[in-house]
Amino acid sequence: MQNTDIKEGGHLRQVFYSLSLLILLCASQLKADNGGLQISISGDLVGEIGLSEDSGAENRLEVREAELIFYAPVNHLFDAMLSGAAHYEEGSSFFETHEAYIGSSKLIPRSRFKLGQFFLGFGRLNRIHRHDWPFISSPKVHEEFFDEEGVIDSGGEYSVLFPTQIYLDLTVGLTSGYTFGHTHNEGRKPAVPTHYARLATFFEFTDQWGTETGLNFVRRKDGNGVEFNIFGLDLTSKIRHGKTLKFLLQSEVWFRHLISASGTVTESLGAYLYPQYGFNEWLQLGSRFDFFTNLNQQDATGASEGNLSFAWEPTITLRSGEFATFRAAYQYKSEILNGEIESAESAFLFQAVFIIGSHPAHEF
Amino acid sequence: MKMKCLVFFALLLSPQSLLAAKIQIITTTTDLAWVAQKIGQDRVRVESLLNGSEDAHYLDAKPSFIRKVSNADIVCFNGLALEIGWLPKVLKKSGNAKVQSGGNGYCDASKEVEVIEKLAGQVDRSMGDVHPEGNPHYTLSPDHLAQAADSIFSVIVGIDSKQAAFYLKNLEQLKKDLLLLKQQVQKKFSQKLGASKKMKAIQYHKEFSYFLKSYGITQVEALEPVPGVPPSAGRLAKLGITAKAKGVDVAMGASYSPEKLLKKFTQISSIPYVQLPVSIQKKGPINSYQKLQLHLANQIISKL
Repeated sequence: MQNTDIKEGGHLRQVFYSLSLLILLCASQLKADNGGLQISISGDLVGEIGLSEDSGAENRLEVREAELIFYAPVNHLFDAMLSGAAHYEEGSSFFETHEAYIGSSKLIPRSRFKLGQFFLGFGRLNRIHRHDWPFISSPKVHEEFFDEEGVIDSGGEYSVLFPTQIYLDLTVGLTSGYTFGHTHNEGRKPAVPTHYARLATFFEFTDQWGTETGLNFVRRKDGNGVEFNIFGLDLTSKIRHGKTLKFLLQSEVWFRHLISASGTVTESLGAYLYPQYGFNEWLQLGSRFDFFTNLNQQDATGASEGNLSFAWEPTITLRSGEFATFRAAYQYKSEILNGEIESAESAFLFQAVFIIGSHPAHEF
Repeated sequence: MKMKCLVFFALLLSPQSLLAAKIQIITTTTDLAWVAQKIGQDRVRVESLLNGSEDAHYLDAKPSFIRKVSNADIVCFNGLALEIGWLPKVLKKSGNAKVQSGGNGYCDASKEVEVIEKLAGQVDRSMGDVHPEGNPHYTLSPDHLAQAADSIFSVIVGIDSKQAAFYLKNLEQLKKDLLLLKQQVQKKFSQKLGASKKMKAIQYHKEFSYFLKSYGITQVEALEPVPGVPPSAGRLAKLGITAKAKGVDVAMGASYSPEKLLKKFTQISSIPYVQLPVSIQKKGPINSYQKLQLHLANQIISKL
């Protein structure tokens, strides 16, 4: 399977490079069509060096992702987006379609919808391309529930903004659910397809300070009978002084109720908290704290076992304008059982992100 | 209990029906709001997303903006890519077809503006945060604001054509007021400088180019080496010497420009600096375009 994937990856890589070359050759003509096709290219380079003996760090710099995004109005009613990324995974590059959807924000009053393949619109990180995240690595809870990068699937998503005096935005989605999380296979027909909802609101404390928060629900039952319900809360709070993001607080808390095919119930709870302070427009210092626990974990005797995965990742971000970002982070990860540290590892992480061409306007 | 619930939901729901008689106009900047209000008078309800103290280049697509835009009949924006980083997201997420591109409430106020400092040839980001279509800070010039008023007028009339004569009368009055205001400000500069002396100014970022052009003030470069990039100590020293040699009278920065760098420039060159608002302020005394223009003139003159 791995060999087939690698061969496929190699073939797709050729397609990716050919496509890139073609686009670059055509770029000047496309640019002339004002209001037409926009092209964004981003590179996300990540390096890691193990600092502890048992670190799983690969001690290398790799192109984690090279992403191509195309977006444009299709006509007076519809917009479309196509994005693909080449990923480096276990020694090989894979090119895959991230998003390919058509949608509209003009057909139904106060509503947006899209049909196709996309990052599902729940939580915070899952809605944002990874190169736009404020830290380098994926939080533990995100990795456990949604995989490193996030959940991409094909289906439909509808959002409606309620006609209320406070901001209330509801997103609901239904996707095929053949897969959930990152995979290179086509998955299997699920018993219950993936469906999800996010209800978001916004509090504006001052002109510079606002906080968005969302309540989330995700459910799926796969073809093997494994079923989960995930509930979550996401929060993003920003204080912006002109060009400087003075303060950022980003957090997500997720709870998963998982029922295996045999009926065994596993409940897990995880969260991350990321406060960040901006000294000026170029320099930010933040620190992420990750927590994850299996609530009903038992030891060999069947007794309840207290467990906690804890990680700490102080991160320094250096921005040269909006489209070039460099990050360095120290990562400490530990596994704690019944109050005792079972294992711990640390690593140094580095990231460089660049964006060339256009870039869609950012979310809050 | 039922009654309480009904009252709660009645309060929660936007009172659109109560405001339906008036055209709901949202503008990005306060200056455009002032223009829209002058044209629409009591037939419109105008609100700006910004309060006048922000740098409109660098904002987030705040959900509060999205909510306001979702209820609008018209959204007027500065254009020339000033709001490119956040407004497209706001318009899209509002789900309001009227105010999105192609809708009759989509109001790009820069459409009729005679744009200056357009870039010729190949433009790329090595040239800084450039605006290929030209300098977007036209609202500080009464002449150019009058041109923007034409675009706003066209969009309002497109929605409420029955009242076209009313709006046209207001537009003409607005243009007369702007002309008078320009003459008033011009007179202030002339009285201070004398008829023969021509003033020279250096800017931190080119927010004041239209203002300077409007009043015949010569501009000497900008402190930023390229737009959006702060000057190095070396550049400040070099410009300090050349600006002094060229007889520059004042260094101008927006209220959000870094004061430390302006101060340093003054230390090197002995040319006084002044920090100025670039828009009408929602809070405080500078709450109209007349007051803004007079404030700018008075502040500059006080440094001469």
